[in-house]
This record gives sequence, C-alpha cells and structure tokens, in this order.
Amino acid sequence: MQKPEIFIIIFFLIYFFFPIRSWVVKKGEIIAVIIFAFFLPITIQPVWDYNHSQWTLFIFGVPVFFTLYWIALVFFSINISDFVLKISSKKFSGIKLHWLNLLTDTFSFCLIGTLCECIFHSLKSYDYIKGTELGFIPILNVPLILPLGYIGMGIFAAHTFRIKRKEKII
Amino acid sequence: MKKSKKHIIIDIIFILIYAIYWESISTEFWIYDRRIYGYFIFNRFPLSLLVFWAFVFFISLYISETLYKKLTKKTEIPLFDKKLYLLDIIAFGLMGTILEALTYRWNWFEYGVNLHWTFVPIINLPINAIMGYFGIGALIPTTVRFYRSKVCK
Repeated sequence: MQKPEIFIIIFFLIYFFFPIRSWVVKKGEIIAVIIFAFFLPITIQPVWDYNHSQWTLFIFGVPVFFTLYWIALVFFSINISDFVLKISSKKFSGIKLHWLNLLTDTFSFCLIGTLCECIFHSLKSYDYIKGTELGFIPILNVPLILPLGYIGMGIFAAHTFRIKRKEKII
Repeated sequence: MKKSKKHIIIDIIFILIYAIYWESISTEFWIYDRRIYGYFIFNRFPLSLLVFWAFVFFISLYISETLYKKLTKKTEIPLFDKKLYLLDIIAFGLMGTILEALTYRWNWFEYGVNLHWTFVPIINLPINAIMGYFGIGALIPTTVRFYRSKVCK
C-alpha cells in the first residue's frame, strides 16, 4: 500500500469515528454519497495525471481509493459544518440558520478539501494537466481552482447530501 | 409577492450564481469561437452562456416537476422524493447532452487540448461531459428546491 492510500484510509477512519454517531447515521451517509463518490473521480479524470507509482488499484483510470476519499470528504465536511453551525448559531442569532449554514458549508468544504489536496500534492500523488490557468496559491502551491471547486461543492451540493442522508435514515 | 413569482426569482438568482461560478472556473476546458459569441464576461466566457444555463435549468426543472406531478398525481413538489430525484437526473442529463451535442456540432466551441477525453460514438461528445450533466441533475435541483422552501416559507 502506498502513502496516499494510507492517508485516505486514515482520513476515512477519522471521518467514520468522529463525531460519535449511530451506525444508522453512518450507513445513511455512505448510501447518500457512494454513487457520487464513485462517478466524480471518473468524470473529472482527464484533468489529472495520476502518478502510477503512488497508487496500487485503478478502475477506469482512477485510483480506487478516491471513492473512499470522497465519501469521507463530503460527510466529514458536512459534519464539521453542522458542528460549527451549532456553536455559531447562538452568536449570530440575527442571521437565518440556512444562510449561516451556507457559510459554514463553504468554509468547511474549502478548508478540509484544500488541506487534503495539499497533502496529496506533497505526496506527489498526481500532476495537474489542466486547472492551472487561474494560478497557484502561494506557500501551499496548489492551483486556485481546487479551493474554488470545493467552495462550489459547499454551496451547490452540501444540502442535497444532507437531504439524501435524512431520507435514507427515515 | 406571489409564491410562484418568488420561486422564479430564486431559481433565476441561483442559476445565475451557478452559471457564473461554473463558467468562471471551467473556461480552461473549452475554447469558444469568438466570432460567434458577442460580449465576454471578465473576458473569460460568453454572456450568452448564462442564457444557455438558464434554458437548461428551466426546461429540465419544468420537465421533471411536470412529469412528477403527472406520474404521482400530486399537486405540490416536495423537497425530496426518490421519483423526483430520478426524473431530475434524467431530465438534466438528456437536456444538457442534447444542447451540448447541438452546439458542438455547430462548432460553437471546442474541447480543450491535452485533455484525453473519450468520445461517445454517434453523438460525438466526451463521456465526461455527458456524465457531468447527469451529475448536475443529481445535485443542483434539490439544492434549488431547498432554498426555494426556505425563502418562500
């Protein structure tokens, strides 16, 4: 097993056991996101040039472990966002909850996603074929398009996953 | 303001935000024919693409919601329903693919070089683009309905 794969497994375990919640909730989360987690890396596959020496298993030209990464990323970000919302809702009681949630979603997806991308980049997991036109973030040295992409997920997709999770549980 | 009018305004705002966001970050992946398009926003993407996205969204939402009402004989559109979700995916996937295929056939744009797209025969589109439209159907309409329900409450 290679370094990026070990990182993904650790990240998945952190997501799985934090915060403490019932198995039913965890199952709902995984069911809600699994199809997305499988298809997203395949859809955006031409943008990356994967370093084959850093990955062991591939499916349709994409490392299999990326499905695990996306499951963990989506619901870890959502859970962190919900946690931040819980704390901040008392402080910002004047703002409607769904607008505050939009901010916390954007923040958590951007932060967690960019951090993971930095780790992948430092492990030389892949090179960028496209997506560099907007420039790179100084110090972190990752393309600016990455945090923007994660912000988009926070804005446009987070609520769909939340609603899907709820539907699966009920 | 009437509820339906509010719905339309929310839809328009959301679609515009989505279209500007998506086109701003994805310009690198397509090459637009500047002779065909007029004004370019931020000198990055054609203004008319906002109309394209509005068209895709409104037609797809209309198709999926109308079909849902007819199939289930319900008068209200819920926030989430498995049938509605499936109809969203099909409507967005088909509408997006048809419009993308037409505009590509008319040479309104080209796909960026260096990207190793796998093209689907007959419709002559990259499989990634088709999957993208089905993916939009799986994610965005539910979010649109979520904000509709919150703002129109």
